[in-house]
Amino acid sequence: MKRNLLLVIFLILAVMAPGVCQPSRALFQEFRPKICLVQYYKNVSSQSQIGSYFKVKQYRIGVIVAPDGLVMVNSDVYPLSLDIISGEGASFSFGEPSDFKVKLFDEKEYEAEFIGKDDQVQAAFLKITAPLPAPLPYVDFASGEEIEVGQPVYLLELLQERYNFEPLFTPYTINAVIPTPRRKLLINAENYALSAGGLLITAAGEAVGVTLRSSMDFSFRPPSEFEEFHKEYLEIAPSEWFRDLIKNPPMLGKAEYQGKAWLGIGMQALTPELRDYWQTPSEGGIVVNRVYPASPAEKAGLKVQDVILTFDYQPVDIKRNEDLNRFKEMITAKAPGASVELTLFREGKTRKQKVKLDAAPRAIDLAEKIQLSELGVEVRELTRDILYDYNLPLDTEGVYVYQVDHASPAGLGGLEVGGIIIRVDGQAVQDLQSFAAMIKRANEGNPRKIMLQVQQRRETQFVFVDVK
Amino acid sequence: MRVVLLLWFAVIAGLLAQTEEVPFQKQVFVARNRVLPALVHVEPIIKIYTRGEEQHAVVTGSGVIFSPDGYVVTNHHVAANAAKVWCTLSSKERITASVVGSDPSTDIAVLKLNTEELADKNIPHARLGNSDSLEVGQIVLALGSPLGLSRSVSMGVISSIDRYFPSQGTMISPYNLWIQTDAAINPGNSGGPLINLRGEVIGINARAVFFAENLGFAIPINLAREVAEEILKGTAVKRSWIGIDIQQIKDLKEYLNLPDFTGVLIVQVEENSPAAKAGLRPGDVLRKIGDTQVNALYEESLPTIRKIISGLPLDQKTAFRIWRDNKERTVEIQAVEEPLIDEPELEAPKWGMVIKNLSWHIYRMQMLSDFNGVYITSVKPGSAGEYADLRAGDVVRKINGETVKGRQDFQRLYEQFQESNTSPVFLELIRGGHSYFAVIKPRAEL
Repeated sequence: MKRNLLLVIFLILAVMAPGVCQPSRALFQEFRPKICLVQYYKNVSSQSQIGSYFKVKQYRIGVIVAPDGLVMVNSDVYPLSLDIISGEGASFSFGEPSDFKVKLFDEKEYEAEFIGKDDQVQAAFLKITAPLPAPLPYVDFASGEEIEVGQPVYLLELLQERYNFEPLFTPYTINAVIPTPRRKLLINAENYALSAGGLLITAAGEAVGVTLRSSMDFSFRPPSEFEEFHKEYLEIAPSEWFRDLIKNPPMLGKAEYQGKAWLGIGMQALTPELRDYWQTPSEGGIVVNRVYPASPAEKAGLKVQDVILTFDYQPVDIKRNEDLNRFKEMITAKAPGASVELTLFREGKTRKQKVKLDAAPRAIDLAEKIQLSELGVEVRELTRDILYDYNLPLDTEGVYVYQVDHASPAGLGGLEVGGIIIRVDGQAVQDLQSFAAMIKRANEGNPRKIMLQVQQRRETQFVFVDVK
Repeated sequence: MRVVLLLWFAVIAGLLAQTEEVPFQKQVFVARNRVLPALVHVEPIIKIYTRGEEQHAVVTGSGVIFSPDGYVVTNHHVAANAAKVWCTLSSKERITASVVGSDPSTDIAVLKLNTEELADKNIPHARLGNSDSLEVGQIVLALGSPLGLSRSVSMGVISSIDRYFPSQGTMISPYNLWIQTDAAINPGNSGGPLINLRGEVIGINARAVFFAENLGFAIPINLAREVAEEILKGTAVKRSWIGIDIQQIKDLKEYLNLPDFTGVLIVQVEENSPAAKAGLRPGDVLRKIGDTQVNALYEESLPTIRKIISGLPLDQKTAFRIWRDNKERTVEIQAVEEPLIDEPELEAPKWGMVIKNLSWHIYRMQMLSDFNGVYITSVKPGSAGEYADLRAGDVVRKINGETVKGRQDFQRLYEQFQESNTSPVFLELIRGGHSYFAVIKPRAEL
């Protein structure tokens, strides 16, 4: 009798709430085991002891994307720049993150390692290294291309530590779609859950996107030009951003790492004013304002003041500098090594030019390093981003000063981050090894001071390091 | 310890002896009376350039009359860009003055009072003293208009006679050391005299340090006098240049372990400069210029050496004795006139921007390889320049294909454009160390 009553109540409930309560609860239960808590240590460089880092514990939400333990998180877990076109330049203040751990729905915790990232789409990948008892439930992303304004969706996130990282499941509506430079979705809501990486699920039960970290606008504007109070929205990357990456995750390992496709130019948009002045045949384009030495662009004979009208048979319809990223995306969508045809406008004439793209050179953040804690300096092999930045010839030899301990002999002598040590005691420095050998030799004798000749951009400085 | 005590006795005895002769208060009155009548409250109406256009402002400074015909010495930063200068004398008569000349590198300017406006043609003037014989601890008075409070006198001692400031920020002083004093100096004291108890001007007060107490700095009068004399001869102070930056040799001397080592270390040789053409390179040590030995064990000696170089003849070569790798040799260098002259800003109203001659800072930041160009100091919101995406810091290298060598060139090309005023103007800029292109389209008056 009691059992019958329960059945009746159940039936009434089921009839009263068809397809509202029950499916969302089911969705939550379906996706809950497919997200995880990622824990790691951010390593912040100590300014007072070279080679030592402050460990700061961090948490992120991860999405399990393959049964073998592949986890996708926001790329901010790895703050170092990879190549000269990704990231935000040298970080200086961070070492590599460490001690990654992944905590699953069942509270089991596994060690994991960082395998790679793609800054352009804010995605990084971790791999659980400990053996797994069984394949993991994982998210198989469906296409997010059809998502439109007004569509009801659910967001699955994790709460902060004070709420014990419990999952947060919220119905929303897509409130805006931002088409350029890369299509993204906006929800008119605050970001209260654990930072970026939350999962976007449609009412039909398909995972179609992840939340991005809130974008910050550092662009300088005079006070009169502030358009509005800066409000933040929940930004979402539809799955097109990263679906291919899940199949073929980026690898950071030294042998495998490859920069993105790179052309090697500095650029500005072909504004209507420039177009009128030069009388180019079509509207929009990319004006080349710098050609990097030894880049694909230089090898193909591109020149400053060339205008790129088409890229790989697609028109380059860029009229504002705000849209330059669209051209960068056209390039990075190609494989490094791919040949593309450009239509160039030069001195009143149009011409076709084939260019073989190349992988972008590595950034200084990934360069080989030596930490000399007694001297108080971390030096790195010279990478092309530094030479480009300083306008120095590519055959410049020396080592790059990446970190200085201010209370060390080097710091007290006046050595500063950003310099290139080109000579030690008058002898030319070729590379890291020769530098380390020179310092060792200088210390072996009866040293009083070491003389370093340092170059930064076009300025020279002599630093006398007291090693008594 | 005994020595120190003896010194103390000597000082106290000296002071006692002095006070017996003339009471201290009386000495202060005497000194005051000798200079106060020649003190001038200076109120220039200066042109300032912000947000892309010329504006006017009244500033307050001080000055001192140093000749019976009404010449006044003050600071460059008081009188620079003055459209009109008002001077109030100690008699409280308010008259106009004209700027005779101004030198940014030493922060000295000379004004001429329009004496015909004065009822009493007897113009009091102060006597300039000798700043080479100053001593730390010597009692001094500062006269001027701190925060606009005219005819103020403050007292203190000389805290240091050889304060060196590397040429950074606004405190440029490549050619002199500063007199530091604890006599209260505030904004408005600028250009006023620092005097000794004999009533002689020994410095021109120029700077105070904000958020600090009793840290004032004055330009030694010997330098001020020299610059003022040059200004009175012509209008601009011209300096010679060979293209080197120098550093003291204390560390190098210890590094080399050569106790008798002298000279000054060359750290920077500017590309294509006379020094570069003569083969000088960073790391060389300069020991002699002509017949003059140069030695800078400490940085305090650097201004003197810079001054020697800035005074080199332009019409003949000078022998430079150079030490390199334990060998000495002599090279002949012909100095040229210093490039990158600091001239007033220039407004281009139709383009909504203000430009200035290149500074060394911009030259280095933008990694320029020659001295052509002017840089934009500000762009007017809503102007044609803003629509063309011009920005402060951009270097204008070419206008419609023509090279802009400096301010005059820019002005000529700008005016040329104003006459024709038909087509858009194509600018080739340097931004962030590389090219940038912009087109200015004429816009209706805003």
